[in-house]
Amino acid sequence: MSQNTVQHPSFLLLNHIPEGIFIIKQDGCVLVWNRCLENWSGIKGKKIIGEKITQFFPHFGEPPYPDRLENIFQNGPPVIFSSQLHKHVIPCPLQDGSLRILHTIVTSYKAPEEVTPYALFTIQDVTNQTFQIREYNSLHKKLKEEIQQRKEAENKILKAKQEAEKANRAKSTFLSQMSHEFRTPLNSILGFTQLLQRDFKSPLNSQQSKNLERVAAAGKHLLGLINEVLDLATIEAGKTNFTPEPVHIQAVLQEVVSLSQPSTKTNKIFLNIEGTQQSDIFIEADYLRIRQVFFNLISNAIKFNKPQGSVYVRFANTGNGKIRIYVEDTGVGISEEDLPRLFNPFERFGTGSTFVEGTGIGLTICRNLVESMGGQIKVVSALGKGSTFTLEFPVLNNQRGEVPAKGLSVAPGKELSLKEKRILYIEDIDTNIELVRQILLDRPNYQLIHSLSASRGIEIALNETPDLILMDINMPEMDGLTAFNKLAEKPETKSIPVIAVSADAMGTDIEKALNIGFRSYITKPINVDKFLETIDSLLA
Amino acid sequence: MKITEEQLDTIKELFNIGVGRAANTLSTMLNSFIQLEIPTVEIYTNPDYSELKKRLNLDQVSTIMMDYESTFSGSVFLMIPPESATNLVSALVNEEPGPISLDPVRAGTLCEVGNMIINSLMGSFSNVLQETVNYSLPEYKESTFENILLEKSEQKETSICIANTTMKIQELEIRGNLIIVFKVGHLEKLLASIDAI
Repeated sequence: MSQNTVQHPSFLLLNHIPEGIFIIKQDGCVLVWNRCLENWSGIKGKKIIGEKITQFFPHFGEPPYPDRLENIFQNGPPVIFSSQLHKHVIPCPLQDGSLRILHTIVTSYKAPEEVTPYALFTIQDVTNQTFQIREYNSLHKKLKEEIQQRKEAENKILKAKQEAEKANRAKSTFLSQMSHEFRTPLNSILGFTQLLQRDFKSPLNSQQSKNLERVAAAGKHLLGLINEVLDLATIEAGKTNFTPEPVHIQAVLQEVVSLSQPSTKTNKIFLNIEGTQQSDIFIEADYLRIRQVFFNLISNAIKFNKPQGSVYVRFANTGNGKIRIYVEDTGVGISEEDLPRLFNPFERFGTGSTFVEGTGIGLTICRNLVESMGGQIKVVSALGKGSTFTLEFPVLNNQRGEVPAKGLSVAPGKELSLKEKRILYIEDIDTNIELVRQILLDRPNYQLIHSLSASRGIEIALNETPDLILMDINMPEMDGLTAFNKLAEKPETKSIPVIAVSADAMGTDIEKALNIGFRSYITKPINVDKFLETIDSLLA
Repeated sequence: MKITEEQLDTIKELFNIGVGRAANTLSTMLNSFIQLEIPTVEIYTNPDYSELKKRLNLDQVSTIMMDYESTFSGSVFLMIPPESATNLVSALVNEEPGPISLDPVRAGTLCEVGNMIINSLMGSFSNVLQETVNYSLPEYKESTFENILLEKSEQKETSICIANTTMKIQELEIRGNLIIVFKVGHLEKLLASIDAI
């Protein structure tokens, strides 16, 4: 019976299908066993066909097989034996002895001449597929772990970066505060030095004058250092306020070159400016800051030059919406190995054994300022031949700004008033009051009254109604800004001009004070001439 | 079309018998206690699938599907959220969870479990109603709830029967839905068969 059935042309066709196929009858006898299955299992069709399947594979007699096969013979739905849950439906070893992983579908098949249906097993070999998937899953897991490790590393780097930025901000804040603290004693050093130099009644001898000049020079150098450290700290802390406005490049350069001419005399340096035919080029920048950058570059070009050397300032429109400004000198130059460190703070090059005054952070400030205003700064240099600094800024299109007149105008002189004037100085440090008292000895008609606290100062102002008030800003009990507001509220004092005298030298501090109504802002250390000039102009 | 309380009760009973058998078969096969419950059964004609999707909280679904032919023909679906399907397969084979859509071997396992549940369910209908039923091969799909059902709901007059399922296996609670989509007019034929019992 079985031999006859397998010879049936329909079943012979199954030998050409590359999947394992076998058929069992309801009594469990094998009806068909195709060639593919012979190869996989090693069991020949002529051996198994006609025999009970449980004789070769006893597990077919154990749950869940009998129930599920019964379902098939009842003409029921197809049944799946998945590769993961049934690894050994028909054990088929590979060459290495391991078993193939098989996925089996059993369907009901009813032959035309039979009353009861057969169970048709179709078996797919998913061994390779399974190993590929396992390999993929292993790779996937490994990649996930690597991604996780990278993320953790990135987070660590980010955290470290944030901590470094925080530390940098803390450093900048510290520098700002220290700068303020340095200015206060420097006010006494420079202030009293200036007074000694101006004391015509008891002139100093030649040696004393020279010594005092040295004190004054050292004090000024220290002040320059503090100013630049403060500047760099505020830029790095991101606290610099830029006021962008259209700036006429040629006008600013001419102004800076003109103001720099006196410093060329010592070494007989030739300083000249050359522009293009199209000279009305504007850029958008903070006027004071761009002026500061040009001053610094031109000043360096003069300082680090050879005797009778040259400094050329050139500018040219690049034609692609940008302007380039060149500051070229014939000075000592910078070696190739030093160039990468040129813009680092406190690096000084090319001075050799000659002392050249400077702080070593001017170029750092320049680069920060230029980049903050949307520009770029580069340098090329040859040792012994000179350097060329190139700045590049986007040109401001279709906008014509007024040529800034700042710094060019000269205030008309005012006659000193000989009428007696009373000046109230509100200041918590005795030494500062003493300094101002001595400065005002030059003005016999000015009478100085003072207060060591703001609240007492307000009382004096109300009672005495002085002609001018000098107000410190940083005071312990009440600050100068609050005191100013209180004075402005009282009819007796609201029209008295008030000048701020403070060691808070940041632009924002000055702007804040001027905005609420201070008539002027004098920073410590006091420059005696400027101080007197300001007071004279307000009391004239 | 109006369905009487008795008809609905009979359908619920047929579902309960079917999943009860499936639970027994699964428990035997996996040598682990498996509980399958059908808390509610609802029938809709011309259903709004978007509305149903929101109510059943099913969007992307892992689905085992079989077509069947009888006096009440249609398609039957077991739908499980993919994450639950992943956890179910992992619990069954004691392996770490992995995406089924990328793994035909795992999809085969889920297909076998779904096949058993659907076979038991339809066997229950077939036995009780004394109807012969022919089936297509089971198929595994991952898509949205709407896309899967719309594929089998070509005409507006489609009726569907939705049964919430809860499967508890090794402390794991898997929620899903057994859905029968009837060919047009075939729900009426099922109800007629029920009335004839």
